[in-house]
Amino acid sequence: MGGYILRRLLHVIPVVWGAVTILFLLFFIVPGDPVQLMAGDRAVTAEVRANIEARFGLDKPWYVQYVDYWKRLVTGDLGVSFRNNRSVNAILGEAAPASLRLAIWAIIIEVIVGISTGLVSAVRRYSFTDVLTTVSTAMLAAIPVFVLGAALQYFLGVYTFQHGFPDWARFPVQGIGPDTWTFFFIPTGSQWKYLVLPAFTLAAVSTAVVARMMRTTMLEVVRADYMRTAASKGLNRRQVVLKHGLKNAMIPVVTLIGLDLASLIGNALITETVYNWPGLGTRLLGAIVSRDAPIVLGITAILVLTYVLMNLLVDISYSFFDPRIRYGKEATA
Amino acid sequence: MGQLRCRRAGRVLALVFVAILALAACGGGGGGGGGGQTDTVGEAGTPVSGGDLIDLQNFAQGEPDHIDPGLAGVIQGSQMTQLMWDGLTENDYKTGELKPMVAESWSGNPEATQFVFKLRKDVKWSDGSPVLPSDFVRGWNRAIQKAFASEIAYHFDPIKGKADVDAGKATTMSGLKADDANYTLTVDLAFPYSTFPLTTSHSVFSPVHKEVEKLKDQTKYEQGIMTGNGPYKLAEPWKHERYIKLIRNESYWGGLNKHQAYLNTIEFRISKDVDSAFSDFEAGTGQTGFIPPGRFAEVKAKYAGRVSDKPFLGTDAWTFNMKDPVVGGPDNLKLRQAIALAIDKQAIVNTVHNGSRKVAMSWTPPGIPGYKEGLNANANRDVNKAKQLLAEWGGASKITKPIKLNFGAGAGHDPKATIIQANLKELGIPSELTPGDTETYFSQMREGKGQFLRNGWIWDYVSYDNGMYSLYHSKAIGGDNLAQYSNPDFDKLVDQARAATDPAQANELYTQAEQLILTDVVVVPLTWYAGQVAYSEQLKNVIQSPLDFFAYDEMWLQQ
Repeated sequence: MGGYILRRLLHVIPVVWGAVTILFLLFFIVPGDPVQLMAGDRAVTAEVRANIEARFGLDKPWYVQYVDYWKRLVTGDLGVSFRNNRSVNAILGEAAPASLRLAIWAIIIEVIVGISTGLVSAVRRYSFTDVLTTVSTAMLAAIPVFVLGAALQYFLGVYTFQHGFPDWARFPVQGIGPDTWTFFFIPTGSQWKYLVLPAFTLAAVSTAVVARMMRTTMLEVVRADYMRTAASKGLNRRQVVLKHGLKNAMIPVVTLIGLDLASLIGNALITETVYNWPGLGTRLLGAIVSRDAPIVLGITAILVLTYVLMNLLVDISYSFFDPRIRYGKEATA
Repeated sequence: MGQLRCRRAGRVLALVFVAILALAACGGGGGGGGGGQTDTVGEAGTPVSGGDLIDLQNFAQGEPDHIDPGLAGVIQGSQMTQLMWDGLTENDYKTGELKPMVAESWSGNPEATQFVFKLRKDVKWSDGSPVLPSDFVRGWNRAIQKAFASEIAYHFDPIKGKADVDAGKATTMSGLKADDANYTLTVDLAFPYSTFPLTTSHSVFSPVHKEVEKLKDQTKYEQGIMTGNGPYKLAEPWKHERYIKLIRNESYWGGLNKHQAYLNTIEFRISKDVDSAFSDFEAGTGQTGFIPPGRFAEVKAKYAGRVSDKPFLGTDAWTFNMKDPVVGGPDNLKLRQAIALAIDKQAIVNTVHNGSRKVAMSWTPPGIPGYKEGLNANANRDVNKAKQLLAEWGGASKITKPIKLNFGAGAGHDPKATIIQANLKELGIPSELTPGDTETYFSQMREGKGQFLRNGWIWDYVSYDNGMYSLYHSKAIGGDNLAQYSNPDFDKLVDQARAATDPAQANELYTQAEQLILTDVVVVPLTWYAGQVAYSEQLKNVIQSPLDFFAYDEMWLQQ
């Protein structure tokens, strides 16, 4: 097991190197001029351009910039943003926790709501609950995130305010609010109010997908021989479903959820923008538009790392759900 | 950028969807909305000191790159520096008139190459120490340092010695002399420039406190608490992507209207999405909101009397490449006139801007001292006259290749281009939409690669010169002179105006110069920009300056 994990961790190196290199080269191939973008519509005078390019080392050939970038990267320095000279490490230090907290809550919603509804509708197949779940999850998965976001903002923020609803029915439309947390992710004070809408919005699509997948795999599992065996041993329905059924049906669902955590951190772009949540997604968008290479490279490196690690965690968790799975040895026939 | 535009389109769909849901929810009852009572723009009443403002309009579209006076280039960032620093001069927010600020008076030599500023003695930093002429010299020299790499350092170009700093031959400008004992600042210029005292109203000319001398990297100054001499100061360091919070400066000297700011604190919330920021305003979180595109007419009706929509100094226009063989040059004047007359500016105001802007009747907007009404003979649409001029030119059949309508993609110019295309089609003139990458559009236009191209201008100062020299002087070719316009008569008028010490005479010369570009039809002005801010009932005395700044130090909250 230890050797397996080590080997998997070593895979991180070529993956991160490849991702950073490709992106780095892309910045030189795709047209775009960070200096001009800083100045907006105005012409940049030759002196101003020379000063800015010298400050950020943009006057050097690309391979020198590439080597310089790696020299800094191995010391853990991600460089400074072209836009405002701030250290990328500091920017990531602010943005990554915000994104991670939102992603964690989205996952919690996804796990609780997704798995339980999927399970219920599989067990009570073709019942009213099942039909309701199937239809509503299909709808939820089909509604674009910004539509859901705008609708929630209007009905729970604007409408409730303008019609004098009590405080409990009114939610902040945007922003992270006081930004107070305990144990990293538990909202403190009024913080939870700011979290509800974005977390629900971010979770919506994935929850629907998880519920549907849970239902499908569970339906397959229900027909398996061991389920019949378990039932014939005299276990009650609850034990059969939860102990034998759920555990076996979890493998594909865990894969989905695990990889989702990684993508929720990076792909929360729309949710973060609509709710103005100061995370990685919004910064990535801004940085791409303004050709702010250090930020894009920094965020990408972090995302690639998260992906690889989540992948590993998911793989390791398989052995918990299915003890037959072993790691690190070639399968023997 | 494609993705972004899709999202915008989707957002409209989303609103339609929400509107349908809302209608369903209210059972068809058009839903009253928050406080429909009207209120005259809050001039009346006595100011109340106190209260905390949450501003949702200034950063509705994201945070600025900088709030350091030496770096802040965009208007949202300059709004902060305007509140935290006072410069030598200031334009009155109501009249646009140039007023003495930290400089109680100034005088220039007859050649307009030297100015002597006499400073007030009662101006203090927020730490209580006096603001001295040497603080201005420090700020100005700091802004042009090579390592500082400020994109707005070009404002100092008129000062003697700036070129030497650029060339690396000096580190300070030789044209600056501070006499702290006598509170005077003497500025020598590299060329005659009578509007120089006016340019010092820009916040890049702010004084800078000596605390900066301790900094290793000057660009980090704005990340901490900066000491200023304006009505407000930072309450805490900039919380990136969240807010910038200002608190009243209790040692403020009083400014133009001789009083301290009324509001205790102002929290400028930073948003990423204009629609969300405005929803936040509608949900009662803050007192000001930036009206999103396409909602102006509806919001103006709903918040009657509480919308600041004064035109500010900015003109949106389409420009001819005067070097282009088809549309440029004196031989093609009649074609340009025909095109200018055919474009339906009112349709653009109504459909593209939802009525929030006004048709531009000249290139220079009202509010600039010396502005003269009705300079543009082609402002009003006249299709018949256009057809006649086109026939005199030789007819549409002379155009073998469609005329390129160049614009930066994804910046909201597409609908304007489409209207222009339809207008030209009425005359039989073929044209094609030629969107350019936002990243490279302006550099291509500067190189003269456009034909009939979109450009706009937002004035840096309340000065006629700012919209003339940089856009149409032959020395600005390769810079913002996208028209590649080179007319010795125009150059001569502007050069004379820059040297004229009598403002009235200077303005007369600028007007003549503007008349030239409009008679030559170098540019087709479309609209004048206007404010798009709604505010709550409690907020009083909302004053929008000609440069689209808000006088937050004049506002108060009625409880």
